[in-house]
Amino acid sequence: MKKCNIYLNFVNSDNFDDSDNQAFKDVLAHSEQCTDCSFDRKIRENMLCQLANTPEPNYPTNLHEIAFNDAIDKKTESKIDTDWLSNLIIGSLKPIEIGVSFACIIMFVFLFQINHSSDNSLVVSENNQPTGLQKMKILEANENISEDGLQKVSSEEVKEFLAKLEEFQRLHPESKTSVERNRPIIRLVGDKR
Amino acid sequence: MNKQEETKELLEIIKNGDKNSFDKLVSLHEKDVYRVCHRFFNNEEDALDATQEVFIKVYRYLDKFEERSSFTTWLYRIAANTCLTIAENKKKEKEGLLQTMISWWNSFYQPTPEEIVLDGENRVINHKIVTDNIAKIPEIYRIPLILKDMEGMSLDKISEVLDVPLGTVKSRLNRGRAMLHDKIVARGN
Ligand SMILES: [Zn+2]
Repeated sequence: MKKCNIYLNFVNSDNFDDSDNQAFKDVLAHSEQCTDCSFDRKIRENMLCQLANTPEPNYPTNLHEIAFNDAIDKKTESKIDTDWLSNLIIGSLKPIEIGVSFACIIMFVFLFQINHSSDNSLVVSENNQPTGLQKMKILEANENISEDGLQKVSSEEVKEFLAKLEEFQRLHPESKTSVERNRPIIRLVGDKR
Repeated sequence: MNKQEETKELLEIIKNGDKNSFDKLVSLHEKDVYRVCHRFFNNEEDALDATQEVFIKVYRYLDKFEERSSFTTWLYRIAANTCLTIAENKKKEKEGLLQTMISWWNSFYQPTPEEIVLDGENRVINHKIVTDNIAKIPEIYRIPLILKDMEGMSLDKISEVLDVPLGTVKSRLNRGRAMLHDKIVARGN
């Protein structure tokens, strides 16, 4: 069952005051008949009673010393000075703070851009394993290469090329090591990896 | 001679150049100021800081005090504004990361049975639960609640102290009471 809020809604309304008016008397009369409102009223009246009878705090023994002596003798001058000094420091640090924050944002945006712009190169060395995004790009690129796009080479042409290479190495023995190191791996269609 | 008359006489003497009488003026009002500040912060340290700050301002601006309003109205206005400013500054300090983590950690704290002061049968509210919860009410609603329900000040005078219309005082007071009511009920459940 929904709780009755007649009493609470009345006393919580913006323009309610404790003055004796008929509308409030009617609400109080209702609260005597209604369990919900009777409970709310009890809490509210108890709360106001406690507030009115809140005991005085324990006044510190040095209250006068702090309120008068310290306030007048010491604090007046130093407070103004420290306020002035701290305001100056805070004021001068503010632009630096903003500048550093701004630089960080620019740096972040810049690094983010670089990451995206280098995706097209797809250069992967053995020591530099591709990232997840790069792997996806490589797969995508491989899928785009159809077998028709590869040039077919006959075994005679391969033999001829190797013979020419051997002849070159014989004439230029000093370049053999570098040539071997830089020789491209030829992979034909259908070759197993 | 009552407090009001004594204050008036002291103000005359001070305005005529006897700054030493300021000591007596402070003695006459320091407990009132401290009490309001203590009720606002619910701790001695902040209440003392605020009290000191209030009398620094009184000393500094006493020359500018015009007797259009009473001295106590002026004094309470300074006290209310000082409490609000200190609370605001403390809030800014608390916005630091470390404080956020401390608050997060403290949020796991549960009150011990002794602290739950709502009696199950009689729903008797201990004044400690009231004062503890007042400190949790937003400052803007806390001040009218302290001045009206704890200090017994009239709504008209609160309106003068806070320099806001009577309607605003009423709505802030009733919202403050509603918040306190809810906190007390929530804690008792
Ligand atoms: Zn009802």
